[in-house]
Amino acid sequence: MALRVLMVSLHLKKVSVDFPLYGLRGRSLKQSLLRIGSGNRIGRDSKDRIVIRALHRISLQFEKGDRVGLIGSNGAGKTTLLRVLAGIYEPTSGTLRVDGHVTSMLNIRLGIDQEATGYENIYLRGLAMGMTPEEIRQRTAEIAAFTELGNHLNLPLHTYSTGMRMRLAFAVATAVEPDILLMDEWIGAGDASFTEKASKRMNELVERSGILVLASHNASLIERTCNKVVLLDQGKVAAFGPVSEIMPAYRKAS
Amino acid sequence: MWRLWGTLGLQDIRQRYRRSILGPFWLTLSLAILVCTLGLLYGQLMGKSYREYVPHLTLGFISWQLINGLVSDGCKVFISAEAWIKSVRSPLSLFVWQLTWRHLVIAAHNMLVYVGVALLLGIWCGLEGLLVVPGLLLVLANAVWVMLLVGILCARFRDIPPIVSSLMRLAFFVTPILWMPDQLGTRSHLALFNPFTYFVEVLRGPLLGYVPSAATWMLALAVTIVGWSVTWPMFVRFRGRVPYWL
Repeated sequence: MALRVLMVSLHLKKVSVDFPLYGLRGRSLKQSLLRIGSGNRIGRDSKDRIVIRALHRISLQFEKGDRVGLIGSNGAGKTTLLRVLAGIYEPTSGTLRVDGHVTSMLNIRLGIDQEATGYENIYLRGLAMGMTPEEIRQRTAEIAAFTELGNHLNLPLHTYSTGMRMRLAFAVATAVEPDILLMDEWIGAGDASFTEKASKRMNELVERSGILVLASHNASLIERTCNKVVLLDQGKVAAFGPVSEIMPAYRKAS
Repeated sequence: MWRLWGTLGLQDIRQRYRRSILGPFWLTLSLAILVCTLGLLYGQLMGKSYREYVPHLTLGFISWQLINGLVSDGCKVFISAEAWIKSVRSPLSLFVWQLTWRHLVIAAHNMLVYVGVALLLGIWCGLEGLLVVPGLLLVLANAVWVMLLVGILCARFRDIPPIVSSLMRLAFFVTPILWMPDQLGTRSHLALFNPFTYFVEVLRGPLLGYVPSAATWMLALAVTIVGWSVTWPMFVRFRGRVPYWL
């Protein structure tokens, strides 16, 4: 990436995301769903379709250097928010402004082919992460060395153990140069000795990224890695601020 | 981006034939067997000479496999890319190019059968053969709008893939592949009601060494224009919704 963007930022203004529920037949089912309401998250849109509101009027602003932890219970909207930030879901309403290149690590196994060799998979995964063939070629040696897989990299992936596969996926995923890095849960790999190496590499990755948004249930991980926290509750921002302010209250509540 | 869809398209084929000895040349072989068998049987049934019928049948099959592959797989073009669409931001066109490329590579393997047929029967298409280039471009220009249209519709309405596949099966029989248009006699214009006829024709005609009629080109062009003017506004309107439907 020769042209790194100087300005790196993420702005969300009153972003809402509604998921339409299709395949609902009959009025009575709709009526009963509306009655249950599930915390007022089920409603009707302008076309009288039943929708689930996944995110409700989210306004947030992240700047360069922000390490944002995304916390909240299951179904609070963490993954949906990451997907909005990644540009996958266009908000139903509200606006999103992104300055900088977004690298989303929502699925680090994407593009992996069981029948292809380790080296071929480095190439495939690299392309899937948005690297150019030149960038991949430059980094292949470093990635291969990090995996410690040696000659195994010439063998097809189905001959690998689960741990070996994780190492490979991890090594490629963490070889990127992100402006904005989105992660759904921390990624790690391997046995005790490798875990240490992996966590060092993760920290380096976080350090060289402009903005990190990390969704996790692990409170101590968030405290170690992040400087800001967004607490989501039923699709709304319940709290946003420095780690030191939010986390103690969050720990007490949960 | 071409490297990504180029690699993914080839990967689709490689994945299917990994660890097989013939690899994608199984496609060539199975078409060769089909053409030999049907050429013998149907050539007799239709009362056509081997020389006339077999090239017609071979190119008809190759063209049809390309068109049918693009349309039928077009239904799943976004559905089968769900993992990609939901985990990285990717333009929808990426998957359309991937699919197009995959079927072009398959068609190239199938073309070897025609090369064999042409050599055996001593057929040379002459300069007219060059018209296959605009013919192929016309087919692809249409395949792209069809893939976008059915791809989006199928992502939203999951009843459409079976409808499309039964329509395509019907289309195979009403398109002059197994039979020849002149067999319709005074009613040969009937074949023109079927748009697939023109698209098979613009691929097959030039390679057999004759120029498809002006009407064929005009009709194919008309389908292209109508198709794009329907699909483009719909694509612009709904492309952002596709991730929600997967």
